[in-house]
Amino acid sequence: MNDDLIAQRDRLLEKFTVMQADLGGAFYEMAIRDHVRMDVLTRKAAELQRVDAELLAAERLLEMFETEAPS
Amino acid sequence: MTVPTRYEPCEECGAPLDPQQRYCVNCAARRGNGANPASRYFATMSQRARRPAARPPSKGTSNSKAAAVAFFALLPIAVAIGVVVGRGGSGGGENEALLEALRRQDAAVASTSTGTTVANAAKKAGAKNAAKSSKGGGRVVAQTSNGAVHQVTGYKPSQKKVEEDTKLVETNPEQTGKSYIEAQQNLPDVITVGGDPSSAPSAPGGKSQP
Repeated sequence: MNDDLIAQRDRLLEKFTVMQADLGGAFYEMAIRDHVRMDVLTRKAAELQRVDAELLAAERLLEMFETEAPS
Repeated sequence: MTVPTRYEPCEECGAPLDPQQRYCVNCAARRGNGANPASRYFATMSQRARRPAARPPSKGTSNSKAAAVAFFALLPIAVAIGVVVGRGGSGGGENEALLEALRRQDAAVASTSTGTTVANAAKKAGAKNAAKSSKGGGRVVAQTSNGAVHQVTGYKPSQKKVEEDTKLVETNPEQTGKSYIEAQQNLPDVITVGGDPSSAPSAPGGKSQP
């Protein structure tokens, strides 16, 4: 159970990191070409926020398990 | 003369992309051509993170395999030791003989025809001295390492035996400490005391003993 949760947390952490880097990279690309599209960036930011919430929930759950049964 | 720039279409939206472009400015999709330094960095970090994690399981597997082999190799030895200890530890036949003799005895251990007979089981009295025990009472019903077991039902003690045992009982309460323990260890398995049972002192409840 704990191992599954740790694996899920790691997957979400990796996904969040990549998505955040993509959002920053996309904004940089748009900015240097003077072609900033806020609607596209906002949609990407919303996707990133959803993953962020999932990651936070997984970390809270993992913290709760570790507090209940310290190994 | 200028070289015409070749634009590749975006994989997501089809918008033309410059060769130096890492992200599509129309849909923000990342290009999968490996030109993105962030992608290279994450790929390298991911490989480094997975490499050490791949080693311990193989080591752990070999350790657990060795532990399993050792367990099954030592299991028969442990069972054999347990059997030997079990056989050596149990008293076996002697205790069985004593229990059988006690079962055969009547439940009423006090005879009131000529006196009051008090039976002490050999193990209870700690009568380890076989010689002392053999002179204790009536017919011998069993021999154990703790001494002989005498039948008390229907046993009629001699006058000398009654006098000796009465004296023994009278001096016993006065002993304390080490002398008390030694006296208890040397008691015969049957002690007969004289006197009329009807004149016995009253029980703590206020009624005379049967």
